[in-house]
Amino acid sequence: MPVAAPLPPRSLLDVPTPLPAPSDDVARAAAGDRRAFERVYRAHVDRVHALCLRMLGDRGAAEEATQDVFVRAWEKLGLFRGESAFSTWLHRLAVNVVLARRERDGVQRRRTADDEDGELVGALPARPVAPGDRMDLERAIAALPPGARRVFVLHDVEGYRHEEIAERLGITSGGSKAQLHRARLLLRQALTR
Amino acid sequence: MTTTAIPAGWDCARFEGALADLLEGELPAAERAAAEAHAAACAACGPLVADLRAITAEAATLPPVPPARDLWAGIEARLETPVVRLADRAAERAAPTRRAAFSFSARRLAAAAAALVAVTSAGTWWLARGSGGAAPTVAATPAAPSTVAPATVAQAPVGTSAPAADAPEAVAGTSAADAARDAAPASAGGAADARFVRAGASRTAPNVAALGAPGAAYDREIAELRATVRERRGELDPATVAVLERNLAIIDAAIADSRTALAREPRSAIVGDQLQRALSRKVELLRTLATLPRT
Repeated sequence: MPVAAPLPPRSLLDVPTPLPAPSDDVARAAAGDRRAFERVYRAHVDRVHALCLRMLGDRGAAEEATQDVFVRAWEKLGLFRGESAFSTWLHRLAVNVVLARRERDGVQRRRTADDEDGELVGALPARPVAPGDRMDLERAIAALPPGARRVFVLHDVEGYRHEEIAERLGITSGGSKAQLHRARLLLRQALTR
Repeated sequence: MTTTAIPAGWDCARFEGALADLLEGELPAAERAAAEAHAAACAACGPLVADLRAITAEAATLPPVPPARDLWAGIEARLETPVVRLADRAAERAAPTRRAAFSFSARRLAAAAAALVAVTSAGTWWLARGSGGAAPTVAATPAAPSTVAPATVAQAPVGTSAPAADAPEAVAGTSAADAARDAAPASAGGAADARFVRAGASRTAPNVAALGAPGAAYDREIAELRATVRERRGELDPATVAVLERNLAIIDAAIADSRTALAREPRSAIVGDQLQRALSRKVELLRTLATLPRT
């Protein structure tokens, strides 16, 4: 009776194909490897999209801005010198893209009495909402006036300091603090209704 | 029963006025203590500051939000059609010192490239005629790091008296660009670089000089083809081999010039494309020879 050849040790069968380290993908993408850049995109898109969505308050605009961010990142990858974490570099680029979009679209907006630039608050994230869950805060953020929303997202969600926010938004540090406090009070009002 | 006394002079109005600074940690120690004492004793201000702190804490832990659909296809499409910004062109014009050196090497490379095209076209036509049969069809291999640029393998029929101009090759199987893109991730960089060149010379391209993974893919392909040609040397006409070696020497000179230029201009899309084309033509020439029929 023929004896079947023994199977290779399980450890060999189970050895997964090692994926490139994330830092390798950034370096490869910087050298023009689009497959590596796709992996970079998939590793960071959720966080970038979250920033765009919360800053812009509109899902369609957030998707467009997210695409803009990664196209810009592809163009500028050669400028990333590794002095900070890539996620930090990408995030700052995303903030710049969102703010540039705001400036570009500013002439088309209608002024209202409630905020300084009249940007419409758009669709909410497409997820079911239960009372008291985290989506309440997301909805409340989306409903903030744009100026307050931008400062709140940059400071309390993304961790920027008032000096950085003031520089990027073209306001004073004191103005940033005032907008933040206004945002927090409005959020509390919305969440305790 | 003990009660917490509200500090003297601290009413709700004063507390609300100091609330922003309290939350930011910017109150002096004494005022912070007084404000905290007021909040602990006040049925309105206590929940207020607690709620605001809870909102701040929760905001810091909000999770990433995936988009409702995969955005990669739209992003990739835009990567393939780059736009040369006017600012980039202006920056190129504003750098005369670099531009002079670049112009010199660009002229030299252009001359080498023109010679390269003529030589490879003539060489492949000559080889095909010398094989005594129909011109060979160069098969694309899955690992072929070819670019999307048209190949220079001449499809000249026997008896043609003049070298064939560059013509799109009839490639067996899938298109070379598709095979390269799907099978060899490193080669995508080459295809992407060719697309950068289509957008114009002054585009800021990735550091093509590194050509890390794409360059290694070319080197592997060239090494394998050379090994095949060496093995078949006895089957081939010596005159054919001599022509091949002369053509390869010209191509190697163009490759060396491109690499030198890229070391100076690592982000030049034109020079990167020149290198890419030279490597691609070397591969194509070796492939042609490797697949020639026996003499």
